[in-house]
Amino acid sequence: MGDLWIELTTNRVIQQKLPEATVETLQMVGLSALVVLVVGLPLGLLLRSLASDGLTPNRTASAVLGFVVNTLRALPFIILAVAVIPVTRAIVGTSLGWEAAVVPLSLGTIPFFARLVETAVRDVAPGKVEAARVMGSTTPKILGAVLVREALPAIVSGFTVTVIALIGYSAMVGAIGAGGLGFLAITYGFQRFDPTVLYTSVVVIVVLVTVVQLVGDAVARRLDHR
Amino acid sequence: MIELTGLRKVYASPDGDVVALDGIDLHVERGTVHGIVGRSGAGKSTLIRCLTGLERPTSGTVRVDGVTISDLAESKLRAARRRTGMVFQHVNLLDSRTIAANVAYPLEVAGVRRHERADRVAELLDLVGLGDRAGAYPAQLSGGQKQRVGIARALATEPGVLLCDEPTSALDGETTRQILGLVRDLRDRLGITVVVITHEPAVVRDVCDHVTLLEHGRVVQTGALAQVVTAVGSPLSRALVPVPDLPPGDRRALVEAVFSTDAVPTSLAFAAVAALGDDVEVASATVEPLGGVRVGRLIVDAPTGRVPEVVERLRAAGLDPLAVPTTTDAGQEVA
Repeated sequence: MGDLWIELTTNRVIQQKLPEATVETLQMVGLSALVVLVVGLPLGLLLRSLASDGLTPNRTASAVLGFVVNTLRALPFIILAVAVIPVTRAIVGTSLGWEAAVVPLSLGTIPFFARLVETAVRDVAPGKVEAARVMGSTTPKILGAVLVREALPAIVSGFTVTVIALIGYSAMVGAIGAGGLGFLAITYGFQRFDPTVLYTSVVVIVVLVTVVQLVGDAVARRLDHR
Repeated sequence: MIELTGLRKVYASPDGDVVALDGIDLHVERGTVHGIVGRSGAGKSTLIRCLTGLERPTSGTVRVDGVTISDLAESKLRAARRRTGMVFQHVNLLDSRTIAANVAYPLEVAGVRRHERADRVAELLDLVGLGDRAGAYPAQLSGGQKQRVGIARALATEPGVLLCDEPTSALDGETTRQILGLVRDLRDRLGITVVVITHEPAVVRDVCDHVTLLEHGRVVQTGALAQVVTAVGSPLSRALVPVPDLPPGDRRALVEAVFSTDAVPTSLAFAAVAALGDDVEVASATVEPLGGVRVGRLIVDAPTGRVPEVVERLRAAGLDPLAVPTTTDAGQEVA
């Protein structure tokens, strides 16, 4: 135990790179999570609304959107991350660094989160929507006050799972030049064979995942009055 | 208040058209409680969906409070719906909202200001006897309390019409009586017109002034409760004043008789049967309190040859008799 403490406090990579790498991971995961929320939530609602038993059924639009979402979800993430490099360059100006990583991270998880939102909203009892209709609600009111609000605990749980997936993917994009804890673990820990750096990075990632899960569960519980 | 004229609703299905409503003409007077009964599939739900404008009739018109619902465009229909309250079998409260916020929902939709909403919600919760539970969530309430919230919510926008779709079918007997008592009380105090869809005879007996029986999308019988139940041999009298099943065994011939205690006291009705002699007996009978009087139904078992005489003498005693073929299920419920 004493040896481990000395190793941790004297390892120069950990001293110099770990704090910076942690911040980079938090930044790329945080910004990606925001993008996923802003795009994925409406996309999930749209998927649900276009279904045959949705608020605004449209068979063609539903099929096209479903196909796009399924295709993006079917691609292994690392393939997607490499394939979108030109898009990343066009948007961010570079394909390196944590800012650039936001593009593949968002693209990879938006369809996932949208499907989770769709499922959560589908579980809202149809009677609630019917009651809202009978009371003269407009479609936006039904979407916001009934579907999203009633499904919110499940949407929060879905978002928690999505953020955790983002943390995992962020380590993968680290391997293709995004920086962060994944980059640290692979370059210093694996390629330069420094097990202390490797396992310390892993421990920090585990801590991040645990904190996200605990916070997500607590928020979902607070919102759930069933 | 509610006027249905030639209402037809046909659904297209892969196996051909399904006629849910087949030319319904119905008039519901202001301030009455009107029951609509019938087996499942008779068209009750479609009828109530047409009244809310959730379903557009294939032909015919629906007029509620002078507004022809069946002609309105969607945006106008939303406004019209706020003038109709609806109570559902499964209540359909929003679990994420407190009961006060649930009752406030239709007021939000109608654009009522926040502080006016709060006053109105408190008033409505008092009206249904839940003034002290404003901050509770639906999950913390019993089934009967939830339905009270459902009723408060339906009344929030001061509608002229309250539509109730099987409001007590998920509740136990005592709670059912309380909810029906509340509905009757609200009708008396607010002068509201109530339409109740139900398959429970007890609901009609307890709360309705008028009743309509639907079968295969058509009106089979309609009228004031006291009239329909004393119409001997009618499906509604059989449904609403059911007699116990006849004991198994050989029957001779059956005569069914209906009477109302305001015309014939129960003792005289039975005395009339007793006077027919030892070979005529009451096979089954019931007396139900209905709208201030009691309505009796008797099934009399007599030798086949004496049926015309039995009918004659029961009629002379003021009962309304009808010879029934022995093969019918005279003792069974119809609706």
